[in-house]
Amino acid sequence: MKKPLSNDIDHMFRQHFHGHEVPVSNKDQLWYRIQPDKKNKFLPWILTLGILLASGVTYSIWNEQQNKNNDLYTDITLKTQLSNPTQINDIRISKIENILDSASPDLATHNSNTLTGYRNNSALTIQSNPELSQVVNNQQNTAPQTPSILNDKSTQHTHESKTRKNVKFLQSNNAEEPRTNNQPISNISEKHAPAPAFAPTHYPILQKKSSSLPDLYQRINRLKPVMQLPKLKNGNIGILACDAVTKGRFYLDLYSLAALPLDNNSLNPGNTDQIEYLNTWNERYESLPAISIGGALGYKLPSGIDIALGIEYQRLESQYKTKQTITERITIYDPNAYFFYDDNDNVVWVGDSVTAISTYDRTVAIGNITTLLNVPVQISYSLYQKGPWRLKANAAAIFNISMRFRGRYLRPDFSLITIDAANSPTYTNTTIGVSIEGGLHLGYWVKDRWELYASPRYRFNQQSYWNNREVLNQRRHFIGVRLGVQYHF
Amino acid sequence: MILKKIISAASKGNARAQRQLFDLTCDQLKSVALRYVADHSIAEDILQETYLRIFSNLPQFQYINDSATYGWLRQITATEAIRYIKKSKRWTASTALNAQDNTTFNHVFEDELYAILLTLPDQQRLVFNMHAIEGYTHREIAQKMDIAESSSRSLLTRARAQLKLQLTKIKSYEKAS
Repeated sequence: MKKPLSNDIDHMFRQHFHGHEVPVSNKDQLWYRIQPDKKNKFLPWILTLGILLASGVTYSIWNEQQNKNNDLYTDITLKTQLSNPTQINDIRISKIENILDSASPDLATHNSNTLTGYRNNSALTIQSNPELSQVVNNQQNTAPQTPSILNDKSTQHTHESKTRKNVKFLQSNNAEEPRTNNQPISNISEKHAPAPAFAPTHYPILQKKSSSLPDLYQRINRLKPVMQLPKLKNGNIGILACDAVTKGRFYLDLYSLAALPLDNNSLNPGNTDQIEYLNTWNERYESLPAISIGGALGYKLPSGIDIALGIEYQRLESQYKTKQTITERITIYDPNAYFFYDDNDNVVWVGDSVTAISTYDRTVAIGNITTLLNVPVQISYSLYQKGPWRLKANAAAIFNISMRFRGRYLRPDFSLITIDAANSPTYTNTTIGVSIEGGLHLGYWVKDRWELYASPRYRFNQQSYWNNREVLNQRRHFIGVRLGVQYHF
Repeated sequence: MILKKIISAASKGNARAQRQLFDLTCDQLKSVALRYVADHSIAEDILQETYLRIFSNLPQFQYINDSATYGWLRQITATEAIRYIKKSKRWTASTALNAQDNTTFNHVFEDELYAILLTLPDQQRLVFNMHAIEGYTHREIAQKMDIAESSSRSLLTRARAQLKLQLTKIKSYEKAS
């Protein structure tokens, strides 16, 4: 080291720092932040793709929620899962008329084997309908009332076929909801289905069955698979703040979290004899994927650690499931009538409607909604950085400041009660305390100040949703993916 | 001549040439930035802004020789560093290394003169950098830093005194060890 003199100290420093170098810690990273050509090259596409992806996921989740919410809580859901194949097991002619004057000879010809079709179809059983029984019994012994007229086709040429109206279904059920003491299952009162296209057939009723009934049951069967977590391409769309990217220390984080609940149900101490209640709960209650949205303000420490404080709204849904045996009657009206012929092609009866009665089991899901307001405090630590990618580890404490439950609650006496805002504190905790969350954070820096991230997380809940006076101790843990965007100031 | 070719290509938007220019000069410019802000991460933040400005001004830059080119690059770096300091109002000595803790210098900076320079309070270091190393006049410093010329002179005097004191301490420390 040169000996410093007071009058040449400027010169010494000037000489020393001429051409002096200090290595840049990560040239690739710094260059990525600088390179002029990278800017906006793929940004519009990435942003567009991101917006579309986020919009699609958001819409699908919202749509799913809306579909469920239509039936949730305020009324009983009609989500049905057919457990038995449906077949027409009763056919009755509700209205029998001799409307031979209006009968189409063409239609009569095509329907000439209708009655034979009934006999040959094993799926159909003609039960004790007095009029129809009379028809069958009288085929051999009693002369039909009108065969001579129909057989004489020359007398019927003035008739014109009518336009078919929509087939109308009238449906009722005698559903019972087991172990409930209020609010019976609502009934389906009426359903409509479009008329099948007219196609002359020998089996008009069977034709109606094949074209209309499945449509009806398809509409009834509204129990869809629960929402699936959005799949991330390459598994690495996401966001995490990069503390080295921008000058500012603060950042704003907006996110949504889709998570699968992992329920942990147990009995509170002193209630070990209520094992049947616990089993019933486990069997009949199903938690649905939960959605959270939130925002946080973060601060980047020089040590590579981020601290963020935010607010989060979380919505949880669960379903109470029970089975019902449904008997429904479907009446099909047709102004062109149904013609029943004997073996000699003589019209024996004409009806304007046919009623089918079917019985099946269905699963009914009763919706419950739990809303939470959380204050997450998160710490992130940068693990790895390369180019625009960032990988961080997260740990967070989620302080719940409000919890509300609405829906049906199965009591230990196996009665279902309705819980709303008024009586919620009687059965539920007003907060669930502190939850612990951990996960990874994969971020992609799309612009100077913007980062997108995906963050797989696990949230551990310590406290029961129901208060300690209740028999059940229910904790919900979550595993999910958080998608978000961060803006670095 | 190499730098001339690089400058010529980079000024036309050649990405590879721009990267070469960056690789060739970033360590030296970081040294300049670090003399002002005494923080590696902040110095690299300043480099980010510096190179953005360099690349945007390259088409107007007229290459004369390597020395003048480096002088131009250092000037932009210093300007960006000063802009950062003014913007962040880092007019305190809080970020300077503890002047009394000489034994830590060699661990933090291999270069002793660097370490000594960074012991100066921000204002003194800034004025010393600009005047003694970069060659700014007191009037220019006063204009850039929004201070009086007399303040600039005073700060320079105190900086020199502080530097002499530190150099003497280190000399004594080396003899003792």
